[in-house]
Amino acid sequence: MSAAATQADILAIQPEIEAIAASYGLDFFPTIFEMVDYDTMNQLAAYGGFPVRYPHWRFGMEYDQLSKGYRYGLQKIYEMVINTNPCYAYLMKSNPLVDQKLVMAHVYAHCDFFKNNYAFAHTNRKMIDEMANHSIRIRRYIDKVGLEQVESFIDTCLTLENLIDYHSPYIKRHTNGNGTNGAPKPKTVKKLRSKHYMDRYINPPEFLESQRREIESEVQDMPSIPASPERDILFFLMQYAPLDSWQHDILSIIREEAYYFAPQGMTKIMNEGWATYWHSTMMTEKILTPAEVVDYAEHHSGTIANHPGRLNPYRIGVLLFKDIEDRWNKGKFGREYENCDDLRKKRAWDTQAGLGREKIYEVRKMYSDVTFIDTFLTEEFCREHKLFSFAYNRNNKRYEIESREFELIKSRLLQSLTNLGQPFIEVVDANFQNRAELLLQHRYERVELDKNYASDTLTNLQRIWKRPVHIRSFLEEKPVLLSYDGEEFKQKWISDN
Amino acid sequence: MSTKGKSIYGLILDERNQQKGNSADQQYFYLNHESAGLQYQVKFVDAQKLGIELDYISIKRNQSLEEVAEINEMLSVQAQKIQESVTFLLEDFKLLELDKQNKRAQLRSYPPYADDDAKYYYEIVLDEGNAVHFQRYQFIRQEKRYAKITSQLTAETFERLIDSLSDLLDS
Repeated sequence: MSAAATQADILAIQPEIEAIAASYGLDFFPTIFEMVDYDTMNQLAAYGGFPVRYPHWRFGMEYDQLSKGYRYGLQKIYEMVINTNPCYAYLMKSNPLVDQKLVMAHVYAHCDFFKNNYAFAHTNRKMIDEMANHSIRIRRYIDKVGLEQVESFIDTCLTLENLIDYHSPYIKRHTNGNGTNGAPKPKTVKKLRSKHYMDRYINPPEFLESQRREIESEVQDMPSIPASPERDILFFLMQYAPLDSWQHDILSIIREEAYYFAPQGMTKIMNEGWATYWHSTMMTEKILTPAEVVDYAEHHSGTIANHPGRLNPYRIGVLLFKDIEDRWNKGKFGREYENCDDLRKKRAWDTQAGLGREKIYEVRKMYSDVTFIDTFLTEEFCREHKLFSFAYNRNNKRYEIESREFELIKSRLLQSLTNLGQPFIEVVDANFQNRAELLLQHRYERVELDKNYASDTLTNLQRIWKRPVHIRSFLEEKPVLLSYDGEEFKQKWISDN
Repeated sequence: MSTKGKSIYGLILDERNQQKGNSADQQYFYLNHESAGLQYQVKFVDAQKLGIELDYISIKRNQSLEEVAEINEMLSVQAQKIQESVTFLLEDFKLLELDKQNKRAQLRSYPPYADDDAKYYYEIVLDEGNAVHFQRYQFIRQEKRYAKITSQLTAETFERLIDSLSDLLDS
């Protein structure tokens, strides 16, 4: 076993690895490496990589889990990198030099991905400051309204944090600038600012009354809210739920952080695949010394190992990038190749196109996991890398290979990635039955909602909306309305229309 | 029996004539009036000696209750009273919900009047035990949409309605 690398070692090799990464065309933000011990690494990991977060028990819980995992030899974090400019990367102090080299090469590729992939284009690159700002705001609310109340409200918001519209940063859904699919904000009579004793002269009651009447006649025909289904439910709640100002602010913080982390979920396979592709390329072509090869091979094979029944994003990502590079180098794309029926000819196809590198750079810029898998996961690839779909067998209580059929494997994989594998839920009516009740709609795609999750989500939504909440979905292939009114969870079969 | 309805109707006719004089094409008329600790607000399309085309009635007592339990108790008493006393609109009322969290009770005519295209119902909302709001709604089946609509009431019915609603807040 090699000795741990020192800070001096890291300082010595960093310029070299940075130059190598740049020579391959990787384009990254300035990268700052910090060496930390395992305890600090676990603290940072529990905080999602940020040194300052708002106080909440779940960070402590995650820290405890990570610490125990490390102590019992179940897991180890080699590095962590956060999407900021400059990029901060944390290296585990105890790593031997060969691991540090590998990790640094890996980090530069992550930084390149953060900087260039479209999904990260809208993220706040000064998020360290923003997170610290969130922390200060929440600590102030704790001082003002009390820890218990703030913590319990954060708990509620966190259970809803996935109810956002993951694609809204890239699509202009709202046309009127107020953010809710064209639904107008409720208008109120605006008073001019005045001292208390001057108020009746500056804002005469007759003037306010005439303003109120004008607004009232405008809203007579009760436009529906939202005007069209709204997927960003957190935003909708910020707009319309009866929240105190501190609650509104906390909800906006949770939402902002959810949007910041969303691209990482949307590109997990690609991002890890890209970083693994580049660390293996850089290490094997330019960085490794002969004495380091065995250690490197052991570590790298561990990274891309196949875990039965589980999808290893590092493995599938790197294999796909290599497959794309190979196909585009050999010209295995386009109509002529696709229409070729001769399997032997197809296997030997090589037009010497040499477009592989160019293509993978294009892919890293323009794709997310869903489009990456949808476009590049081919039947040949599935067969070659023995990808199966698994299912739980109730008879012998084991996970077994369900199918080797390409279409099924691909659709299962896409299903698990679309909307980060979560159900599509939208707000369709904020005045359901004309009773200020909230109606949500689950877009049913042959996968039912988990009733426990549904009831917990409705409970927490009701806590924020303060009126009964409902969700329309399907159970046992029949349309159903699940409701929570603050006291009782109900299920009612409904007609299809 | 209260006589508030009669005096409010008198004020409505005065208000209508006065506001009509100010602008001939006025769409709605409003009455804001305070009497015996109650604030009345009536919005209407038109009113004549015999009847009124009413949009809404809103009555609020100046004093408010503090205790949540007391408010909720008051709401259920008021809701009961409405079901017993407001029986002259050709549609009976039913308590739909007593929302203890928001201190509000909602009553609607039951069964609602229905034709082929829509359902129509009155709604009375009791708010925090010191306010009451009356409005008629329409649910348009094809569009699956609710809309506020006006109620055509005879002067006598309107006066009885004002009396009944005022009595709720008086007690």
